[in-house]
Amino acid sequence: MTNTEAKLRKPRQRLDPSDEVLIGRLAEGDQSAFNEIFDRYHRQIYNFIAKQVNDRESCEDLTQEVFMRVYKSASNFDTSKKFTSWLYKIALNEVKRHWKRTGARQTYSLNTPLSNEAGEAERADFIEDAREVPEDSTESELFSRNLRQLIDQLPDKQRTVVLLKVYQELTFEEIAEICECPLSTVLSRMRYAVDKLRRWLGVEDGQAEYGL
Amino acid sequence: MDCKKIQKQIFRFIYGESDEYELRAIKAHLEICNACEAEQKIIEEILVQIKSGVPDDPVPDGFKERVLSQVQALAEQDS
Repeated sequence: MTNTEAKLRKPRQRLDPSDEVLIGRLAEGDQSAFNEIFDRYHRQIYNFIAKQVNDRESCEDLTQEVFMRVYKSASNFDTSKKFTSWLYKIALNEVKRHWKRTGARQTYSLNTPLSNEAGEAERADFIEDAREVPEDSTESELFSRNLRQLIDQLPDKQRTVVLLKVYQELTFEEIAEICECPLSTVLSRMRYAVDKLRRWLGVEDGQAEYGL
Repeated sequence: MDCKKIQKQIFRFIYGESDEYELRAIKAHLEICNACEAEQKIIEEILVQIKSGVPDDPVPDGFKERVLSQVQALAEQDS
């Protein structure tokens, strides 16, 4: 593993028993299997949801709902699939249902151009926004806050790929399974998303104007 | 592989997910193409910054207990 790879993803540990064995046990009524699954994944799922839903109470409710669904649907799990793909698919659907219910998610137009005045205006807004933070914010808090906003502004499908890849450290194959699309589509979404973030952050030819 | 193909596969390469054939082809190309090599480094830097720039949110206190008690209630309801 290269240094960069090490910064981007932690090495995966082989879990024993495997997730698939645990979900099989849960389907047979073994409550302790649920506890083990919950221990393994509740932090990741909470964080996956928290990067998409802003209020804490909803994050908690949605994460709880994901695990309740796991509990109730264990017997429906397709053992030919990977458990994590199934789990994240449930989480993704819960978030989508939440947006539908609350109307909270403001979708960003897939057609929003980045190379014209509109794109420049967004970047200007971003930089302007960065100036309107409490005086006691540190530089890293400021960067974090604005980066979250930028990621939030990505089109849904691109944002999902970035969240699953960068923060959840899933493989592109797993993400393709979760998003139910070809691997090439996942890679294209990743490319578009990173190109947008790069532009918004002002990174060109190795030079960063802001924060990098 | 030409530059266009390299750029399509660059994310898999960066994350160590290329298959053996891709890995060899990409490495060979990066040795002779300064533009692709520079692009790879920029993308890597952006990805590192994106990852480290947004820390994980802590799970609220008592969350585990709340969920497990809900599941317990559900299990009792079912039995």
